[in-house]
Amino acid sequence: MRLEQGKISSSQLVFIVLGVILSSVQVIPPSGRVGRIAWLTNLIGVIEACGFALIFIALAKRFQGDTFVDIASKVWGTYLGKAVSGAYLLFLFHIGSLVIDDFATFLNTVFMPETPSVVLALGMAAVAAYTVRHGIEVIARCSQILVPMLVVNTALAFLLALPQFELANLQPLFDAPLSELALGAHRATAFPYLESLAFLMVFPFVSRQKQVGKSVIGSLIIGGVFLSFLSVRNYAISGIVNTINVYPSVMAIALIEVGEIVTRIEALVALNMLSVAFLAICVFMYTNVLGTAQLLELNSYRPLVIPTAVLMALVSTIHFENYIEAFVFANQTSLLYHPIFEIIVPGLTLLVAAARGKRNTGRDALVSKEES
Amino acid sequence: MLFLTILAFALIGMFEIPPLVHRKQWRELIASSILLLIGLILAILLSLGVPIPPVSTSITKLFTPLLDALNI
Repeated sequence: MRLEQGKISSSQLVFIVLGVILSSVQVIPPSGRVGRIAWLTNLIGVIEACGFALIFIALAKRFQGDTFVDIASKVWGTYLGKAVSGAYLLFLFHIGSLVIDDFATFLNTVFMPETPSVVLALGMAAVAAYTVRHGIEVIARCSQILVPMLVVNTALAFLLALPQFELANLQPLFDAPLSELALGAHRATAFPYLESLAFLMVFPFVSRQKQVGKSVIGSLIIGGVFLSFLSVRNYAISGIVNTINVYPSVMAIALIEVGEIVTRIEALVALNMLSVAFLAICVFMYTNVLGTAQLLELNSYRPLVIPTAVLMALVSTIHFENYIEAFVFANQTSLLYHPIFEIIVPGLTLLVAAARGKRNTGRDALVSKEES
Repeated sequence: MLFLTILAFALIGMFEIPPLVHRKQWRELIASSILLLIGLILAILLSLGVPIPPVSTSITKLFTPLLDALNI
């Protein structure tokens, strides 16, 4: 029995990947360590991310119609495969609950200081759990509404902010040492861009398999250009203060003032954050429960959704003791920790698959099952 | 607080478990019960105020020697 009956189109895939890429960066921007040249590191990061994304796209091509759990058990054998996919699922769980934490801390700090953040986390997890129970198609359709809304919101804020622009803030253009540039680019690769690795669990449900690679690369490039725009905007508005702002987008947008009528519209940022964080939490929760159900050979992933959601929300409250630790994790630890699962695990899997001559024969693939 | 936590988990259990028993999906029942049990233990510990080591900061500590060696 198939765990997921739904199908999504390749354009829907673009929107969901964009939602995941843009999720945390509304709050913790990838400019943390590099300051003014963040726009440049974002763009270099996209090139690096596209290069590494080719690894898991190649994996998805080789094993068309298999999720990562299937791939791991085929390539690594039964027991080692279970261990590899178990680690992968733990990673998905971890970054999913990190997104919940980012989101809850953000709302808690900026808009609802009196509300305990665990309430915000549980509320978000409950909504995401409701969506995940309805399957990948519903998440995809949500993304088709929410991501364009985010783009319109951001474009609107960009236009309204134009009078506040101080382009001198961006000069000198290239004054960072090369090592910082490389580290900043790698940071952008590890943290938002290659989190799209989670979609190894979703690729089998894309209706036109040949489009998968193009969709992922396309959305990485769109996301990268979008993030660069955000860094340019934030820097042009608030200048060097941007490096010490905890939430640069909020600070920049809060300065918008049009004719003393349109002021303090930073709620727009919260709206953006709400929509993309919701999408990212849905994706990580969905991929996690689907993978767990496959790993344990269950007939349905739905009984796991609510327990996983509760656990994610609870774990999200014990990630960090203060903001500094979150900052260190995002800007230093993620440089090494994320690539283990984003680059090394899929890379090794691809190498071993090539060495052992393993590929999907099509006999037991999800896709061919449906056709028969 | 503890009472509310247990009540919330009992409600989730009442919502989740009967359909699974009815359809005799024992594997699913065991898997979701174990997850729920871990959640319950964590929630009880949190509501009693037991100090739990922060998850991501522990990962940071694990990577600190390597980060220092690479001078990141």
